[in-house]
Amino acid sequence: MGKISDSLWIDTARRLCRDRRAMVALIFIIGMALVSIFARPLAPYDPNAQVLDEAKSPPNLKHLLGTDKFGRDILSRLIYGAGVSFKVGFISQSISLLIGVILGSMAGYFRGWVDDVIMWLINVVWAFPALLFVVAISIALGPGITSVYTAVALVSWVGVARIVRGEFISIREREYVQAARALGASDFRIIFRHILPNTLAPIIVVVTLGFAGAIVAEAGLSFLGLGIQPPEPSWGSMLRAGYNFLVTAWWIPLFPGLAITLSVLAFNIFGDGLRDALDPRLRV
Amino acid sequence: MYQYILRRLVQAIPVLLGVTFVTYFLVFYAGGDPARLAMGVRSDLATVESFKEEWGLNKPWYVQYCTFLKRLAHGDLGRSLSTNEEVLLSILERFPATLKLGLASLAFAIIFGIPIGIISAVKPRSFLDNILMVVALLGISTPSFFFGIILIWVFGYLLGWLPVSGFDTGLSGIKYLILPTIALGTGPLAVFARLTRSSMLEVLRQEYILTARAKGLGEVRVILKHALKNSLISVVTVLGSSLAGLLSGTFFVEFIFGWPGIGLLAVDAISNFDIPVILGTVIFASVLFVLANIAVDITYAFLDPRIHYG
Repeated sequence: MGKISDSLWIDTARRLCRDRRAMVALIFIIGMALVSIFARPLAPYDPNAQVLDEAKSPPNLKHLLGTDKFGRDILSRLIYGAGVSFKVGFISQSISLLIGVILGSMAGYFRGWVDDVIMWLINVVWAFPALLFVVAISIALGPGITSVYTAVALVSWVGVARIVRGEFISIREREYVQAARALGASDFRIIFRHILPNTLAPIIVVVTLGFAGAIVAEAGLSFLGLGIQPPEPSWGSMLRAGYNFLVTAWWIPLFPGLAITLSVLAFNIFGDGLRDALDPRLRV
Repeated sequence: MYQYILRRLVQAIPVLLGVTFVTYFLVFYAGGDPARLAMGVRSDLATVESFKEEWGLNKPWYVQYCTFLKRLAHGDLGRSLSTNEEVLLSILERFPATLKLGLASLAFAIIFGIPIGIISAVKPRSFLDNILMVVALLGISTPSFFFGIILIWVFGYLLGWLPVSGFDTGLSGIKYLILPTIALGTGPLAVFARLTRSSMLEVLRQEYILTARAKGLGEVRVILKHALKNSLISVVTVLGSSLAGLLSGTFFVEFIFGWPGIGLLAVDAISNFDIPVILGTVIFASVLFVLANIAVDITYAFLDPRIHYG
């Protein structure tokens, strides 16, 4: 990338730093990442340690967010659950990025039958209500974290691929690409060196928002009993296990639900801010 | 126009084939021996064999899939493993409840979402706009299964205003409909509000709006008559993807509120590992979604003459 594109990123960073909401969201996300990395030293208790004498105790000094029906510390379980959400988001979005970029650029660059086949695939996946497709995949793969991120990735690559394809179609005829081709550059070089770097901005936005989608999907699957299995702490399975105690012990479902909502909110705000910063023309 | 409609319908065929193909093999295959999986550990060898016979699982995959398609064309989705009811019949029986909840949520989202978007766009970056947009973002970020739980807690238990579950047809059923509608409709509401706002701001910059103002039209008339109409076109485009959200959301919302629609049917089937019912509901919902999207595309083409039917 030359000088011009360098300043694109510097400009973006500058604009992003001025966006106070996006900065708060970013700090929250970084905090969440740190919490999930350092879960072990941070969590006050073993997330699976059952102290039946202290079951369903409301938030107090010993257990800041209370305990669940087995007397497990909710705060510690939330801290470990953050790791699950982050892992699902990170792995699923990495896989979806890989598949989406490869298929999207092939479709947009080669057009013809390659494009037809890939577009058909995209349309089929697009034809499912996303969460239902995730449900179908995780039924097929069986419960567990691996099937959760695989399922999410197999759905969300479509968003990446559509955008990459669209950008490729508009960029491949530009003069600098023609020039590279005339100089004898290989397809591989043209794709990775000349076109792909110019599609990065929208890809980053899609992946950030995809992270939010992945957190919801994990929570939803675990809520249906398809995702993370008890006793392993995940926000969705905690919500599922807790929602029956709404009346008698509100803290059991409330805190996991808040954790899900706040982290999804953070990724959405940051994604929005990123979009505005990367392309001020879109800003209204 | 008719040609366009026809072409959209024809284009849907390979997509629908793909959808049935993917669902069929996902649900039946990836988990190992599908018959054993479907019948569970409780089954003896004879039941497993008869299940295999019924679904043609002893034959090569393409024969299986063709048999499945043939049955599908006849509306035969098999029988539930736990109730032995015909899957299509139980889906159709429960569909009106889902449709009712879905339409109510969509209406709720449109009736509140679009005015909120307009109010925000009229005074962009004002205090009110900021508040409304933060609330909208919160609406998008709160999963329906958590929002539903909160609604039950607050309006069902703390305030005791509304029943937390139940179903009834006719006017007496409305009190049961309110909370699930809010739980399901708030996400799309927020999407509509944000989109109406941004496309409204876009439109308000156009020259014909300047013209309308210049010729002395009142602000209300400019906004509601000249600007809104054109902003709504982009709202129609997201109708399709909002339907996806609604369809997925019904699974959770119906489960939480005990609403007797296909979502509840599916969630029950998931916990019982009732494969034919899972397969049936996923295919039914996806086909519905594909058809609804075609309807949206056609409406869009009607509304916006700039679209060439190409």
